[in-house]
Amino acid sequence: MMSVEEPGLVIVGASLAGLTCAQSLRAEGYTKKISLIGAEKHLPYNRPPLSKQVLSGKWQGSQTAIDSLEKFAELALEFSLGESAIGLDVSSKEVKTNTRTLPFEDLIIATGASVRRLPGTEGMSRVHVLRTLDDALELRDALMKVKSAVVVGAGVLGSEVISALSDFGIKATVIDRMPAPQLPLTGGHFASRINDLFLEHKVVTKYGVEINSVTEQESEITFELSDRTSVTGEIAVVAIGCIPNVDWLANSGLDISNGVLCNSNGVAALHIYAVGDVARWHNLITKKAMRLENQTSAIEQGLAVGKFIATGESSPTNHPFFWSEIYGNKILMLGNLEAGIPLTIVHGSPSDNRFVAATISNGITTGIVGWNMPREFRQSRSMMEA
Amino acid sequence: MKIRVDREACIGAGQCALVAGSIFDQDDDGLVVLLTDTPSDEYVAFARKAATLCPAKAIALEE
Repeated sequence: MMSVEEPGLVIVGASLAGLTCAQSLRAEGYTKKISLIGAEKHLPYNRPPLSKQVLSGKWQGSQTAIDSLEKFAELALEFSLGESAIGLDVSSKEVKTNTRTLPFEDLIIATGASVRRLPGTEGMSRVHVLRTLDDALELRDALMKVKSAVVVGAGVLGSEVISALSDFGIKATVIDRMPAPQLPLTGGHFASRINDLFLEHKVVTKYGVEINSVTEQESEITFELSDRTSVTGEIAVVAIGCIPNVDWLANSGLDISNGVLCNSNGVAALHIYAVGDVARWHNLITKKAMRLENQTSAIEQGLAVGKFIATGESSPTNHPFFWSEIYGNKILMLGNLEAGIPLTIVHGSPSDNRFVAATISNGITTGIVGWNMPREFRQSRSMMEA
Repeated sequence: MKIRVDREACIGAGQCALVAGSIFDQDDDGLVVLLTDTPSDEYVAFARKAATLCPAKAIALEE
């Protein structure tokens, strides 16, 4: 039986990575106390549908919930929402929050990442971001009222937003400082395919430009660009990435440059672990420390750390995986497509808009992408295991 | 155990068919197809693994 004084395990961050840790710990037989604290007021929810089903209006916000309250009760957690960590003392093994000091035997850092804002747009009501459930609901409401929008950032999130704008019949302009759209881990191989989709849907594209200034007027917002042109829309959506939530660890002594540095088991320091968007794990495949902002990594790292704490066993390193849907095209990506190597077509044909492609270098498959061919993509995954 | 799948949420990643091919398959669009909604006891652990790994959280288990 656990005693009242026993500090047990503390998980800071009640989103997918932190919650998966708790599930994994219990599934692996961990019986001590687990405290899970989360800064947001919502029950843990899934982020990927925010820019897809929620934005399109197909889903209510509540449909993104990861599990019901009953499921959480089965995990026997001390669950506290609306509580945020503000400091960590590694030597005394205590987390300070806005309401109390929590001692721990083991700590899991799962504080995620926050949206990166565009400097100079603070307080502008026409500027939206898309990171939280509340962001998504606000943006959806705005999309119902406008006829034009400017999207800053042509990454995967920006591209999904642009695709949603077209569904709403909204005239879109995209700005990016890069010369072309960028999907993560794809080595630039899909830049022209994504751009073609934009052009086909009459999106105005402004690549390779910096933003000199942003001005909010009564009914629109204007961006002055470094090529001496300007673009205007009724609203703007800024999708320029995320920053790991490590401010509260500033005096902890942990290495927090671009996320909490961890070994391949998620260990940041003795009895301290990190998972999900906030973590930068050493990857045994690429031999580099990588911070991965995708849902599958959050799940896999949560499972791995739970198992490691409960049993001492390591889990195998996985290839990063993400998916997207842009203008109805289902894109699945495993591993890392290499830039500068031509794609090998494994199934289908790019001209039919259905294919599976890979980059193969020195006989090793480094990445596979499925474009509207999910089943063949799954069948091709074994190429990565060779 | 009873399994329910949400084909609206499914993104066709195929993780379920990868780890529990006797319970889950994919149709021509890659979307999940349930081969059985009541797996026998020896397959329950595989169903759990599939639900945990599903990146779209489209698999629900009622125990």
